[in-house]
Amino acid sequence: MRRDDGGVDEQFAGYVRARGEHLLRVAVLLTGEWHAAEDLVQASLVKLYRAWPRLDTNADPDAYLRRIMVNTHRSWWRTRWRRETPTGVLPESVTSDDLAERQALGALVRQALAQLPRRQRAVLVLRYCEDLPEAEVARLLGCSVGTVKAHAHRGLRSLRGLLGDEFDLAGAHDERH
Amino acid sequence: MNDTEERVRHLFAVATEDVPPGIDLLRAVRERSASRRRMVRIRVAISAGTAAVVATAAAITLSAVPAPSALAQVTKAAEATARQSYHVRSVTGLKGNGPVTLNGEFDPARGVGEETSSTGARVRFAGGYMYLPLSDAFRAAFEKNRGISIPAGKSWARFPAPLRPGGEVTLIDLTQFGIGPSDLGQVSPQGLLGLLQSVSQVRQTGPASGHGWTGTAYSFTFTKAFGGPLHLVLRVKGTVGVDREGRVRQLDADYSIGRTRQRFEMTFGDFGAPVSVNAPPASEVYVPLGG
Repeated sequence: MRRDDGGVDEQFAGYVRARGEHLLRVAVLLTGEWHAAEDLVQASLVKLYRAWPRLDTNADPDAYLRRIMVNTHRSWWRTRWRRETPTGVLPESVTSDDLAERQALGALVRQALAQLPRRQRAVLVLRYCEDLPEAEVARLLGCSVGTVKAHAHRGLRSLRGLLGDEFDLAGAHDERH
Repeated sequence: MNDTEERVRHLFAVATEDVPPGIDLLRAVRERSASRRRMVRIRVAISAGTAAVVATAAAITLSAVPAPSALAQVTKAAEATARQSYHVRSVTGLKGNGPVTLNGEFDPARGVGEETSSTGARVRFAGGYMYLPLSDAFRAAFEKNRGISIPAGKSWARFPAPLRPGGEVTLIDLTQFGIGPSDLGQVSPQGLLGLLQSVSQVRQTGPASGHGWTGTAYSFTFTKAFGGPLHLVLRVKGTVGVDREGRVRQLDADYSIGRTRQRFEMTFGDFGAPVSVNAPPASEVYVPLGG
């Protein structure tokens, strides 16, 4: 096994370099804040790294890691005191009004997502961020396709309720520019 | 794809584009990898040492069960103490500030507890949450930090932070709520008992005694790195007095988190006494997003 400067398998480090940012984006939607997202991805990568030598070369590490992340997040949710410290200060350093507005909207979306029940949140993230089909989401969460549909329906309704105008105007800001 | 789904995808994209700088996703893997390599080296060294010990010990017949180690005594005492109700008195202070006295009562089995400082600050634990009184200073700092307005009539703010009988240390940075770190500890007594269950370096230092008890004193050190972009590290060094019933009676500790340094001198007692703490009335509680 070839290792990088930090002693990590080079192939694994390459995978993280290629997919890390996407994983972080999925994680922040699951957890609601960047600090916890970083923790979640790091913890999941540690578990993936342990299994890395045994993974089939044809295996899809994304699918494996997705499952780890969902399961890890579920176990954290059950003992959420451990990770969810009350932070969430809005970013202060912005360079323009537009950027400030987008960052504020981003924070609002994360906070709204964080208010949804865990499974509704997971379904929305897996369906609309990961773009997984309903059957795959059902397999990952260990429930039926009907349950996934119900969670997605209720989750979208709740998100719309929590975000109000920001939900209905989503995308319109960009179209104006 | 309908409009609603399209909007959600757009909102998710916006919610994930402000990735903070300085995130190192491989850090935990690197640390684990380094620790495993160290462990392998230690195992090799121990194996060599063990062979010599086995050769020497072959001629010796053990006739007594060895006493539990200092580490086992301390972790067991912390575990036992953290499971029963107790009252705690603590004198604490930051370098350069005068001492502050804290009085608290905790019943981990019911998940309730409260701590009040001589400066008037208070923190209450109940039902898996931490409650902080919404003083004017706290309200102003919190509203400024979060850019929100707390409704009138709310006198408490609630955050997820259950008390657990032992387990991992909960880091509660009260300074973010506008409460000075010398007013209330960043680590609760329950958290310190949890910490004692995780210490790795313990040494018996001699006899110990206090009002109405005698026992044994131990010294300990503890280091814990918290995840996150600040890479905060909690370092604790102290002594603990364990009574003959195997309960923690005295806990003196110097700890540092980041640049904050603090000393605690805690006395535990009134074990099993009833604890009359309940969650504040729901109508008076402000619940922040995610709280």
